[in-house]
Amino acid sequence: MDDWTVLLVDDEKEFASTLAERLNLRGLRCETAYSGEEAIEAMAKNPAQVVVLDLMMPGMSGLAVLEVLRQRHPDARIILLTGMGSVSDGVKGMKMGAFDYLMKPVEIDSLMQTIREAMQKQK
Amino acid sequence: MQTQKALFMGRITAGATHEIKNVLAIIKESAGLIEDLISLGEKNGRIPVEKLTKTLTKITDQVNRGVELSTRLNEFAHTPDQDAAPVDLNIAVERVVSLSQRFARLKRVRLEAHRKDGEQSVFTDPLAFLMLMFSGIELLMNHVGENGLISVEPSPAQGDIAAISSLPAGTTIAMDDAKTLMETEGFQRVEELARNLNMPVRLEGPPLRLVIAEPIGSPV
Repeated sequence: MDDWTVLLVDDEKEFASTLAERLNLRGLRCETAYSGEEAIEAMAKNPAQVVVLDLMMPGMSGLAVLEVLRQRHPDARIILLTGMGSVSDGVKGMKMGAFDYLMKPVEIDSLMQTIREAMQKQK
Repeated sequence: MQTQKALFMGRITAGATHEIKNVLAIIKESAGLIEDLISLGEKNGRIPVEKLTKTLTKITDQVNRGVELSTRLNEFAHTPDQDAAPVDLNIAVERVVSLSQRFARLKRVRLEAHRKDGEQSVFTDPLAFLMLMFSGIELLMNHVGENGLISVEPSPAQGDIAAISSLPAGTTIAMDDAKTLMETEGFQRVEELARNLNMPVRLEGPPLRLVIAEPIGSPV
């Protein structure tokens, strides 16, 4: 998993940075972006193989970011994080080409498992 | 009106509980990180005390944030207890601003509450009054644009009970802003809510400012 890069996108900075730290401790190389715009910029500079994307963010919505990333980085696997009120957006995201969606708060083991599956599909 | 109130309560509650869930998610990940660090430390014989302390501080901060959010939500839940009561304007402004912060953040708008010295109050329907101020905030938030500022002030002048002012981030302010906004559905909604409370509202500007005046005639 050494060469795998994951981009974690969430506007809750404390959440994103802490979760990224935990993923890093598990052997991933995890970067963070705190908005959709930042994520698109980060992907342009240094494309990640897997993007973990929160759906509800200020500015560009998660679905809008998903659309842009699917066009510009068709190989990247995108895992959506949804809240209780946005499950329908998670389903919509799957139809738009997301790899999977998980409900927040997410268990680290199931997130790791989903990232691993995404990586295997990516190879 | 009852349906409008129920919808309003639903929106505010959904926003506040979403924030509380975020707080809990941060606490959960921080606690998880502490577990990870301890387990790693046990393996390599080095406990990263500084990192652990930093993470514990993060948990404390989030607990305080959660307490503040749930206190606000609890106060809000008690707002409909009385159909009419004296409403402290400083508290009402503070409360509506606090409960609207999430909506402001999603629109990337800054939202501030101002206080006025001394006790200022109005006898009205407390929930309907919060709903009126929230609708006013939302109206200007939708208009001010990203990085704009909305400030809410109690008793801005004699005869007025609240003012919601907007300041766009850019330097260009269209001269017909107030006139354009008066024709929108959002303003009509504000007017309708204000009418129910017998409170005249006026839109001034640019920069845009929505002023709510004292209720006319007998208390609601």
